[in-house]
Amino acid sequence: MIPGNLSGNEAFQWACELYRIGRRSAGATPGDVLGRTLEHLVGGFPASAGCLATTAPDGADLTIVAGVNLPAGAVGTVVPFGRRLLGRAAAERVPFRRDGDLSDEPGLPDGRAGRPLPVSALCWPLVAESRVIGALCVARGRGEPPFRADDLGDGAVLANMITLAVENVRLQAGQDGRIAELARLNAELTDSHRRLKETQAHLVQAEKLASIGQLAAGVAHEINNPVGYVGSNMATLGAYVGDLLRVLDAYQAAEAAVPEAAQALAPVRGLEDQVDLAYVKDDVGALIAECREGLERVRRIVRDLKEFAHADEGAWERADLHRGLDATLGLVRNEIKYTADVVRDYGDLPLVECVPSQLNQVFMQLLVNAAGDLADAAAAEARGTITVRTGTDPGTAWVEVAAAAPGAHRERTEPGTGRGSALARDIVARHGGTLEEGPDPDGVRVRRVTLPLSRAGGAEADGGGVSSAADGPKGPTRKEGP
Amino acid sequence: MSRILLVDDEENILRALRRSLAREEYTIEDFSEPAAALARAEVVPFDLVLSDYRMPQMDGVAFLTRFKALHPDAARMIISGQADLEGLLAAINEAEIQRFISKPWENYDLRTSIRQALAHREVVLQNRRLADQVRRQQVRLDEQGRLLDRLEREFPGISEVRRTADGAVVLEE
Repeated sequence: MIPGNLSGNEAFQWACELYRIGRRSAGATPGDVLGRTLEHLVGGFPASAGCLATTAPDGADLTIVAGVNLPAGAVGTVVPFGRRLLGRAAAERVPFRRDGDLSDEPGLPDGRAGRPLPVSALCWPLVAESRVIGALCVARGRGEPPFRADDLGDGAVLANMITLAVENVRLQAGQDGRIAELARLNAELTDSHRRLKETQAHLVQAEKLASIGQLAAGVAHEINNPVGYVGSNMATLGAYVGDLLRVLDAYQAAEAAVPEAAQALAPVRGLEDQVDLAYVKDDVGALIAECREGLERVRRIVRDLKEFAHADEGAWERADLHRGLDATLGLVRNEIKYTADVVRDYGDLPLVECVPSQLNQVFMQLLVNAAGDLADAAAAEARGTITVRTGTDPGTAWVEVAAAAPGAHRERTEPGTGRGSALARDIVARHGGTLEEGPDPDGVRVRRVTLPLSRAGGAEADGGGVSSAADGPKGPTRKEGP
Repeated sequence: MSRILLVDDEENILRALRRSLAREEYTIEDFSEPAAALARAEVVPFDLVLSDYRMPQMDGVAFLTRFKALHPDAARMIISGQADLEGLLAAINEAEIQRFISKPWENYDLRTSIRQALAHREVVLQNRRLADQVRRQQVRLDEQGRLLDRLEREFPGISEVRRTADGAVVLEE
């Protein structure tokens, strides 16, 4: 069965080795495996050359996939079905022996450059489950003993084993392909799942902010009613108190003019002392003024809240970025005031096509991050400075928030992270702009939003386009003082 | 004395408005329900109406539009803590309001706005009265002109008065 010159045990070892090679170690390509299988076969036979050809999956022509002692370029050669030794073996499904000068056979050596001149060859078809999957050919050169008739029969068993190896390699290659495909699909799925989760998180966040915005606008409206009448009443109260004080003064003047009334007025004197009338008269004006000042602050907060939330949620319009910045600064004032002083350094900005309420979220994020950068400095009771700058470049407008810690606290430089920052990036991307972050040479952390003045060539908000510097300012420009 | 109608669903607002207008020479009536205010306006005329924008039963624009049908000459104003664009457009285009006062308001602003609105209304009304008067007088003038023409035809020269150089009337006999 096995190459005729091997003893029983050797033959078994040989077959085991063939099987082992056929199992293929990790990292080996199908070509490697078939090549080694063939070498094993040629070495064991023994023969001086050999060739293995397989059919394409569609069962058409044969392609030489491995060779021993073949001229360069032989591997890869296509042998038509039914032609030459290999093709005939495959087409006729019959093994055969051929002697003579075989140097022009595509699957055999050509006798040049030290390669043997083949004079005797054996060919077997490789048939798996009644399907021809290839052909095998071994040859001996001039000077070697030609194959005997028995060799063909012994080789038939061999051909079966080779068939198994080839089939195995093929199956494994198919499986590898499927595994690779599955891995790719899996990676793709994982990636889209991650992006979906991100998008969902952003959506939830945006949704939350939008509903907070609506809520804020509603609350602002509700607050305006009580603030309205309390404010009005305070003004009226101020007038009433002024009137009462004038009447009181008139009484006191009259009292002085009528000395005989002194006795009757003694209880009034006592009461005046009891309530400390002089102090009350002195303080009541300040009290009302303070109340009105507090109301004025409530009014400003409500106004900023309304401006920030921007009732026409989600609509694109040409907006003055300074208004949004001022409203946002008004709202985060409380968060910032313990850590930093705010400096506004506004340039001349034209109107920018945007969704104002969304950009306000970005401004809020920039300011909160800047305040966060300075929180360490503030803990050491050294106040930082947050500078809000605006300006234009051709076709774009920019808003910059710079957080400058006082000297000793300049090493903190990790960039702002978290959901808020991701959402801010998202919003800026939807506006076709960029959000850059990084310390400048002086160790001041600068965050800059650059926005195109108008949406590029009809690109939609959700298109996530890139900024187009080519866009000239199209909108009406408006001067805005700092 | 100008008659003013105040409408707001919040009584506290009505009282505050009344207080801030107390020293003006107005007769003021207030209602917390627009329907009741309309019922009253069918009976009594008003010179100026100041209404809230957001009210449960009827919004300010609807109320003022119906009020306008009753008293087209009355000045109309809205006082509101909310001013969305749609509402503002409706207030201007449908209710044809003269002024939009935002809550919270300054008493001084409120009084000035009301005075101006009333003064404007007074000018418009006076203008109309004067125009009527002019028309009436024109009719009388035309009548007298025709009379004169008839006299002139019957007694030629009767409508002319001759004077000397020093302005004395020359009576011919």
